[in-house]
Amino acid sequence: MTARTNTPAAADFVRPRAVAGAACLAPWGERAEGVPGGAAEELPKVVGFVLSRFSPIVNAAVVECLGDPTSEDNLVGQAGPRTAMVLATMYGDTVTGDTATARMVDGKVHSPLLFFQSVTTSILGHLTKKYGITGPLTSLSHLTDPGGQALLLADSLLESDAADQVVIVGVETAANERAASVQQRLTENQEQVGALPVSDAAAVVLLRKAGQGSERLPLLASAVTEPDGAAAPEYGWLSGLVAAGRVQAGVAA
Amino acid sequence: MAAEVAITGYGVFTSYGFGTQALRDGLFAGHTGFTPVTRFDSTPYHADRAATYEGEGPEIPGLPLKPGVTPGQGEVLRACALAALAMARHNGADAPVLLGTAGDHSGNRGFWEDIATGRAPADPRVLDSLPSRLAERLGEELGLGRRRLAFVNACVASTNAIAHGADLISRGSADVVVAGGSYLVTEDVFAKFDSGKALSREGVVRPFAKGRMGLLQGDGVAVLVLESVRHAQERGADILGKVAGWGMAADAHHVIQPHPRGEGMAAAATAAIRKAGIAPEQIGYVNAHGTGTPLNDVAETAALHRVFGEHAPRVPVSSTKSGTGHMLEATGAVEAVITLLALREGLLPPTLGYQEPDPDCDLDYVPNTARPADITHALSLNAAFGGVNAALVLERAGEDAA
Repeated sequence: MTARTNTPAAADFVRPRAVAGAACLAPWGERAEGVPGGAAEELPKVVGFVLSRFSPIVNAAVVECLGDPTSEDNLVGQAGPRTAMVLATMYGDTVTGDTATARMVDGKVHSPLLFFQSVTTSILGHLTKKYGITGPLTSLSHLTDPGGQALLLADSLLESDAADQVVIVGVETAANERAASVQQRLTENQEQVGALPVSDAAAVVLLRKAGQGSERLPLLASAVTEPDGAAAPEYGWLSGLVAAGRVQAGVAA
Repeated sequence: MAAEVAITGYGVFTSYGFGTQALRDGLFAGHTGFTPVTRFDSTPYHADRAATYEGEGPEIPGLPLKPGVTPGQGEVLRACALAALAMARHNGADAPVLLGTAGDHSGNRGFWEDIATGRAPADPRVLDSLPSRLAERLGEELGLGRRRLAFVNACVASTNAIAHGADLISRGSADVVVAGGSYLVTEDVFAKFDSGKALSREGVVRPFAKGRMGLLQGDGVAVLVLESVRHAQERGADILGKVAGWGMAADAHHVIQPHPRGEGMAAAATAAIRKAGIAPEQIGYVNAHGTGTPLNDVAETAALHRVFGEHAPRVPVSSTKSGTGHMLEATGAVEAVITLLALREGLLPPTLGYQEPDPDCDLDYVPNTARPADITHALSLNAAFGGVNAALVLERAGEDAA
């Protein structure tokens, strides 16, 4: 199967949009030197989430973008009922899912904690409680450009008036054996597949409706590069969201 | 003006078999689909049943059942999509593909067994463990549109797929959308739910009834062809029903527990009813999420009281998971098909296994036997971990919602 998948790189948002906040997180320690969002390897723990960094990195990146959830000045404020969240990933939480399966193969029982944290919506539930977000919650997977598709979906939610602002979260953990094997075999099959980040990474963009007179912004896909080179190639497909946060924040502010 | 959204085709597979008649003969006739698990050894687990297809009922076209083997999601999706497109008399060209799926888990176990024994992983099914690859493969093999997305938000995933497809059509971004979802019972997912003590240990599911003990999983795949009414009419297609409204909302309450007063679910349902442009009293039937867990069913009942107020006791509500089992990412799509059948055939599917009422669940749950009813609009509800809620309002063909 040779797939040519559409990307939104050539498209515009339906109407003017503003990027009200953005953050990216590459908690790779010394390996993240010079990388946008580079941070220490250790992430704040999230109660109830174990083994995998998928949910903790989502939590940390969203807090970095939106601000302290206990502060009145965070970017959600009183707009929780009009705030939506879109989480984008290719593989989801492979650490949790595959740890559970590998344990089963070894004849061991599952951990109940792995049961609930294996779905992407659990960490969104944690975050919505912290920020009082009660709008639509969506999670999606796309073969080449989850970030660009998340921007499109967020645009849809704004256009249909389901929300006034959308927290877009891109997240991918470092490829484990299964993900690496799938990536390699899809490439060998000449099926297009998005590049994975070099290690656990997340990027968050807060997209809002913009006022009249604002310019329409291009939707950015992972293939988009800035004039001085790739936006953040270390982020793999998430580089589109990193670029959206950096480029569009300047244009739309 | 927003375009109206028609349903012009569907294909469906459950433990009862492939197609509409299987649902009529099974669920609507009052039979549960639960049988002892044969696809894997259930000895290590607390539960030992699921609603898996065991060869009773119509086979999947071109995909004969292999005892002890979980069919491939990609192959069942293809069969359902072909049936849906044939019913719609449309080739699906340019139709975005929107699927609710967490990927096909059937290859994962083999992959890790190979790793554990030092073999090079060879089973190609593991490629479909990547959720979006199922959407991509379906689109590529059937020549559908280039936009191919997998929704991975757990038990609302295919409801979300249908809602997003309806939204695209409503705003004029697509004329035709292929939307659906898939989950087929596999050991690793079964084991996860078992470890979380979510599975009923009595071999049946008794939603909304006193003493209910939890859910059981089931096979489910459904694909719907959504289309703008104008487009369907212009090409002379049969309009089977409409997706009149959709809504999603979050609880902001808990990582896994539903809001005890059903606030998010009520908000999603209210948004869907408002988008449909009808009064809550016009809803003649609710296909509930109705997992059969103690917390969900009380929360959902509370949500329906919030939505319908004094009218709530007069709205028939059933949980068809009592027959089909919980089909996880596919559940919204399969239940949309069941709800469409209820509208078209004037027959409300029952809540099976209902014996003794629970005082905290005080609505009309259509216990044990299907009920004739002449209804014009129905509400289908789903919820997922993280307090994610989704609702669809379906409308009988030929009705004017205005």
